[in-house]
Amino acid sequence: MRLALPERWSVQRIVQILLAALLLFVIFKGASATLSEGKFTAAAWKSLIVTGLALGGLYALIAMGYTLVYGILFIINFAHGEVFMSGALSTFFVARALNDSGFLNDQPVLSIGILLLFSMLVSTTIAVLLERIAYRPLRGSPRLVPLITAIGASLFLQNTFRGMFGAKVRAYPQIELLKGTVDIFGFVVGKSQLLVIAGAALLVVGLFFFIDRTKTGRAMRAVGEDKEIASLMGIDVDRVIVTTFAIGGMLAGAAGVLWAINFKQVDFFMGFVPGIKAFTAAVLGGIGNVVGAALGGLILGLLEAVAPALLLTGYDVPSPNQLKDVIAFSVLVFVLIFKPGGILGSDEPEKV
Amino acid sequence: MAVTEVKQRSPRQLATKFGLIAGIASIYFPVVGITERFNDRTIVDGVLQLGNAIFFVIALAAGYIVAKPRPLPGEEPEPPGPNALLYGALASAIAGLMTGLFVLLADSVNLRPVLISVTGGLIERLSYGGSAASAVLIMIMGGAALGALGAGLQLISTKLRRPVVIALGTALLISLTEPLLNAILREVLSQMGLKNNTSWLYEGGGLSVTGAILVLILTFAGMSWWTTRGSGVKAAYKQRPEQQRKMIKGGALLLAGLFLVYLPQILTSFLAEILGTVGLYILLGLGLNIVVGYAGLLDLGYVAFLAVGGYSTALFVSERSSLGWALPYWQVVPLTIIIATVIGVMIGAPVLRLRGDYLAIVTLGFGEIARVIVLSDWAAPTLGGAQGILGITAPEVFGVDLRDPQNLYYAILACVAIVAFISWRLSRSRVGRAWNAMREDEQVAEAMGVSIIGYKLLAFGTGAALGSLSGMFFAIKLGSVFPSSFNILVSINVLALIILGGMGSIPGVIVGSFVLVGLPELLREFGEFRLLIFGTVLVSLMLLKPEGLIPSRRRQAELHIEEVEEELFEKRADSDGPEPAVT
Amino acid sequence: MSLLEIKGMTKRFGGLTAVDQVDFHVDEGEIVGVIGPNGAGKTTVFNIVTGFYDIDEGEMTFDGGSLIGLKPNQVTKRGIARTFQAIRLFPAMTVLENAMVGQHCRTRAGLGGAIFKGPRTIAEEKKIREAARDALAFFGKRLSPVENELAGSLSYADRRRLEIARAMATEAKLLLLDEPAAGMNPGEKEGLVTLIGRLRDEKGYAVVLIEHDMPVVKGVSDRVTALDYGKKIAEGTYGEVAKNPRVIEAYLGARHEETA
Repeated sequence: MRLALPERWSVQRIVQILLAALLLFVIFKGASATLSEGKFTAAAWKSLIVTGLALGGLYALIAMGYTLVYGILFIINFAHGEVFMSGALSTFFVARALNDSGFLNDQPVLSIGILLLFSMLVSTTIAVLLERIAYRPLRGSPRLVPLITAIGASLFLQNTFRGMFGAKVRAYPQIELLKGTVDIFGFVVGKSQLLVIAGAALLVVGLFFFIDRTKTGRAMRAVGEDKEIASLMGIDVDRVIVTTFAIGGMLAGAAGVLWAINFKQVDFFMGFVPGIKAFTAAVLGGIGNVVGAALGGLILGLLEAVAPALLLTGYDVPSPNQLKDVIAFSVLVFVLIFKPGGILGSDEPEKV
Repeated sequence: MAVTEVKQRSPRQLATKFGLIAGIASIYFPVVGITERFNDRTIVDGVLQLGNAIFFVIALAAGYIVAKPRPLPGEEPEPPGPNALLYGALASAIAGLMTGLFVLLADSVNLRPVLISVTGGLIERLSYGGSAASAVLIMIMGGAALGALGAGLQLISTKLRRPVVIALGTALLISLTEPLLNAILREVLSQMGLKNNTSWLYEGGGLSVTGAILVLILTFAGMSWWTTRGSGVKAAYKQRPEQQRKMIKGGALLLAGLFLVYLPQILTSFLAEILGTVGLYILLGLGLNIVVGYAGLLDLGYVAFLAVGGYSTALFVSERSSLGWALPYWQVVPLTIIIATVIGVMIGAPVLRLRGDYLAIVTLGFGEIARVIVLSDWAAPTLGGAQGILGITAPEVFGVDLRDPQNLYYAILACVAIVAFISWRLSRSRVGRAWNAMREDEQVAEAMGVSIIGYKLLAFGTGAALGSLSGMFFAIKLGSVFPSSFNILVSINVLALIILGGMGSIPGVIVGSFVLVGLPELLREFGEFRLLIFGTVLVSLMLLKPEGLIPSRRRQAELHIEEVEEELFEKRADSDGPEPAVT
Repeated sequence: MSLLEIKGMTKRFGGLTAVDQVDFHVDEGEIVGVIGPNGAGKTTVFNIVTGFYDIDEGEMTFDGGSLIGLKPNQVTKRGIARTFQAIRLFPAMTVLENAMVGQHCRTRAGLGGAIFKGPRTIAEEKKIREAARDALAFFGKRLSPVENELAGSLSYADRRRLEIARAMATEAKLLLLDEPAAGMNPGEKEGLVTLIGRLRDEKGYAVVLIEHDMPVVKGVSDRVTALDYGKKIAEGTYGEVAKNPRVIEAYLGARHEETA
């Protein structure tokens, strides 16, 4: 008794397809209008792409923290944006001291190393403390409980840093060496952007190797598969979980310094929006999937940089850049509608 | 929670551990600026300021916790011996030492460029007039004394301890609510024809010395009576027939209602305004409670509906809005609610298939989208950008101007009563049961015939409608709407008050609003640390008492059911092995 | 025509074919036992029938109408109710409320009814309560006296009973019971056999049960179907199936000792 339409064509499916068609139409129309107007030169596009790559690299680094923790504990560490902020904001004072003493520009490479190390140290500490104090006692409780805890922890961290270091936006000291641009295959790349892209790429590749090749990495994957069996196999589950948080924290700390160098300012609230966006990136790539997080970060960064100009200008939207966050969050919503598992994730049904 | 450390530590290790924690806490408060700011608030006039009181509470608590008996599983708790005093003192002395060393450090090195709250004034105050070195000594000794005192609380019998602790807590509360209670007291006194001199109770923004002693003695006496006789009174109440109990309950509710109606008559306009704000948050809380508490959908973008309500009211009512025309209120109210519901359903439809934690993030994203759009140049011609929409005319109901704070308060009160009634009815209906079932186990609820998408949408839409109602009042109250009023913090605020009160509990929402909205409004010192307090409240509640202060019976069970589950698991393990993967 | 009719049911997860071309039917008032080693695809069949998984190939009809494409709640409304292998009650609702949720698909009161509580809603609420109490009463003195206790506080066997009562309250024609005897002691298992028989004789339900406990299967089943690796390997009376060499091999065969 099969109908002509396959059963999968439920109302939901039809709505999805209509929505997708509408979306494609809107994108196509906006993009073609923008391109035919010729408001942007090729150089302008290229510069947007470079901006997007740098941003994407940063998102990818932060997204690792979300995806690693989710892969093992299946919780969204909502406070991860604050882990990122804590490294960036506290390192500001080191950077300022280095700058005041002249060391920053005398030994720029060494200085950046010091900053990275310090920031990673702070962020890792915060991440590990979070796990120990806020999440570990809640393992096995209903899902919303750790999430609410995470929101609370996020507020707590934000406002603690605000109380300690003040609410004002601080201008990050600039490094002479990173001023100016270089030309790579016709792309004009800011030197600081180059540092960000290279640094992010290096760290992400390092993480791949770590997870793929080392014993700890294997243990992490095993714990993600099944905690009980992993512990039966002699894996210290608690330690693996702490390690996971620590790695997420390290990468977030590194992202903090790179962010500060790239955007030249820090404040106590800086973790909130990048945090949600990095989460978006993780979901976009397929949460729990490390390669996916990297990919998701890059795509999101590029979209955020290019899409406002490409789509919204065509509709004569004034100051389209104001709406870049709207685009980023819309990406999250659309991913969840069309492919909740993300690009590299699977969409298998939940266990019954 | 169920996870407890079974590691046995020696008393000295315990004392060191909690001493270190207390020390970190004691340094934390001055470093983030709380001590300095809270010292503007008097607890007992000329004796104790709130900022310093925090140190005392920490030292007392450290001693108290260290001295707490820790029986091995299955053993009877042994009453703590006099040694406990020693360890309590040790713990708080360590905390005192750490604080003292911090003061010493801050006195010799200028930390101000980094830690903005560590000012010269703070250090001076923490040194208690002497040198920083003497402060170390004072803090160690004072800490030890307080720690021993705290430990001493463990030594005395429960019958004595509870009244002591409660008396201290009550004194603190009565002192903190001085702006409210003092105003009421003055008014009551003067209406009774007495001199409205309240210095026997309040002085300098806090309790006077006589007042403190009075409160402590009275509460202590009252509580002592209650601990010995309370169970008898309770039993007597329980023995009454159902009818009488209902009447007693109804009478109490009626009295509370009358009090709330009468309240604005005796309050200054400042306090009446705060009450109105609390009412608005109760309204918001009741709405979100349906979404989060009943249906179990964590919505972090609830402020979006407040914004929809506010902006649509402003657009349709204000003649200065971009529409250029205005509608009468009786048309605007249903219109706004319909718009909000439609938007709620539109937002809900695509994301409600998602698992709970995804939903939270997506709704958070929506909240942000709403804010960004309202602020953007793109929407500015319609929604007024950062300038917002001005000139919302005050509505009149039967010739009563609602802009007047008192009248508005009554309107909000009436609305709260109606919405609370609706919530109550919903909770014990077929719809409420379906929501509860869904919250507890979505798949099983579906297998029992509950249409998950349908009921999620229903919850989302109802929540949206109620949220927009608050938005409407919000717009009327201010006479204008601005994007800055609708930031993410409102969502967090509402969520925090629901969680504090207990998810799914209507009285919980009311109490939560008074504590988390009323108190910070009343005590301006709290204002800037409000979010810090919210964060702390959320984390500590989830760790210690996830069901909230006034839990609904269900919720409490849900969060404490693990023990039974574990037992079940063990039983299962003996039987046939479960089929893997799909169960 | 049978009450439940399944033809060529197939379900794949990635490369694994969990259910492979299974034909299956249940007649009205019939009790069918489904047996097979762990991972044979028994629960997956339940999940497909009740709409939790999409069917990849094949047909299934119930009471003359196709079940394909229906959501779990729609399947329940058609008259199929199930229990779960790992007991899944609403632990923080009372015993009575659990059963009342079962009545959900037979009633209609919505928001308006809940708020205004008109005569129709009151009458419906009464009907829900009565139907739920009826279902509880089927278990004698086990559930009725504790109807206001929280379901989470019940004993293990009573939870299993309440799951069945909740399914009964949906006014289904067919009950799918997933390992109802798991975790029960021998006495309780005997009681279960009687109970399932009563379900058919007194209430006229058709029952499909997945069960590992052979005495229970033997005691209640009119017919037994055996699955292995997602395929149907035998069907018939308990005696026939138990003697079937493929079934014996599936249960005792060397290849299973590695995976067991």
